[in-house]
Amino acid sequence: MSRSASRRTSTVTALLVLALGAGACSGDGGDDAADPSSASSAAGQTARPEVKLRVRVGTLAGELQRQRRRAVAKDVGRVVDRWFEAAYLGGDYPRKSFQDSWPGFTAGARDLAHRDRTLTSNALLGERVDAVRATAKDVKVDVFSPKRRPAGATARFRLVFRTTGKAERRVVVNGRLMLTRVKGTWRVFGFDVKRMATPVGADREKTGAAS
Amino acid sequence: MIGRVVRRATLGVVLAASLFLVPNADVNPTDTALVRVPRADGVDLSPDVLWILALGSDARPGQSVTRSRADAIQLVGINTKTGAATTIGVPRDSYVGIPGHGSEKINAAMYFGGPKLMASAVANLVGIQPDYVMVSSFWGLRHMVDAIGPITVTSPVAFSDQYLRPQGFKRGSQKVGGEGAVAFSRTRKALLRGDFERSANQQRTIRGIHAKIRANAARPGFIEKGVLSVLKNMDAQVSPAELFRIGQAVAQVQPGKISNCVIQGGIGNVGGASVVFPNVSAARRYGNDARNDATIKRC
Repeated sequence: MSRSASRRTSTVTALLVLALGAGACSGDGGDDAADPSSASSAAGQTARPEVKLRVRVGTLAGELQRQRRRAVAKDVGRVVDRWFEAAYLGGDYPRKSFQDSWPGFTAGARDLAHRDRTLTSNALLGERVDAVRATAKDVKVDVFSPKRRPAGATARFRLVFRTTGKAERRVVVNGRLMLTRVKGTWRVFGFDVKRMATPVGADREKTGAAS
Repeated sequence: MIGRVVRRATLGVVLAASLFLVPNADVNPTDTALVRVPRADGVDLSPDVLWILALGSDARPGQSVTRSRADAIQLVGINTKTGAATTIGVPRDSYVGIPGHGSEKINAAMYFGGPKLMASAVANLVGIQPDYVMVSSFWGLRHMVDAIGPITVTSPVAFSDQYLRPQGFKRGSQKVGGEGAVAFSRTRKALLRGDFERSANQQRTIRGIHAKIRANAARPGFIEKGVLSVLKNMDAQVSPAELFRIGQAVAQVQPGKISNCVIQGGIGNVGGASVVFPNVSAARRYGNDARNDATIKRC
């Protein structure tokens, strides 16, 4: 390879790393390019920055000033992020208990979520996992604000994480959380959650690896 | 001879077409997959089984929607734990006792005492006290359907009404906008079983609205905008947050778990007016059957 070609390749690699790294903050939620784990495969094993939650305002039904819309999205995003951490990303892995996976949920929603804990938390993999690393955390908040007062919100989310240990998976959890404000605090009263897990690393070689 | 040639030619065309149309069996199985995506949904509402009395008011522009007669009377139950729902249709002309007003057609209860008295009259008949009463005018229903887009209604018979829908409705499924939905729900005289069949058609309209909501629930802002439209076009008498929760619960009702029944009865005449004498024991049976799980096993 010529020196100029080699330099071009290095430059492209560096730009790719930068672009993919930046993608964690600015890429589109539906695009895997936002997944900084792709950067590591392109650039080799480098230290990866922790993925930050990316919150955006979605649609607005009713009226609400731009600034207040952003504030609602930020508050709702915080609730969603707490759930991400408690249900999937946080805790000591291998992890047995997922009892506290739904902070910010109403009592009834917590019961419903517990019933479906294999989807609404990482309970399915917890005991076979040593570590969990988020690669994308995106939330888009649709606001329901009749008479200029925010009364409800739907958080459309996408969480992507990788697990290592006995079960090596790339897990995508997406869907919607529905929230209303209870005593000034946004609480989750409903959910529609989908989860897809695909084997990665050594598990990819095995056929029929359980998700 | 000619027949054989034609048959062979036809066979050749079919085989040739099959080469293009039949999926290639040599596709590497790892390249394609049909995967079921596990999904969990739920909405927390109290109580678990929510009863909504949905009323279609016959108020004309300028008249009070909640102090006119109710042309459509549907008691809707939603089980937020299981995603089941049921609708109990009450014929408008049902001759029943109305608290404080003797015996009258049930649709007069709203005229006498507003939505609350209407709820009491229905509760006396079915044995279930609604948690909410939602009243809509014809134009309110029209606007709501127009807001969510055309819905699909399925009619067991073809019928028309020279004033409401001169072009009529065909037998089977068809898409209707707001105006069509109102005509489908209001037409009575053209139907062989009059009031009973009209009540069943109102349930078909509700089913069409639900299917539309369900299909679009994940679309950004769809539920929010739909609930806003309900707020504008319906006298819901609940807080916006409460209505938002109800809207999300409706979206999670599973179509396969919906049951509909119309209270049947005999036709009679009271004071020169045609009335329905409802089958009270059947009405109570529906209520008892559905009270705790929003499911009626048999009409």
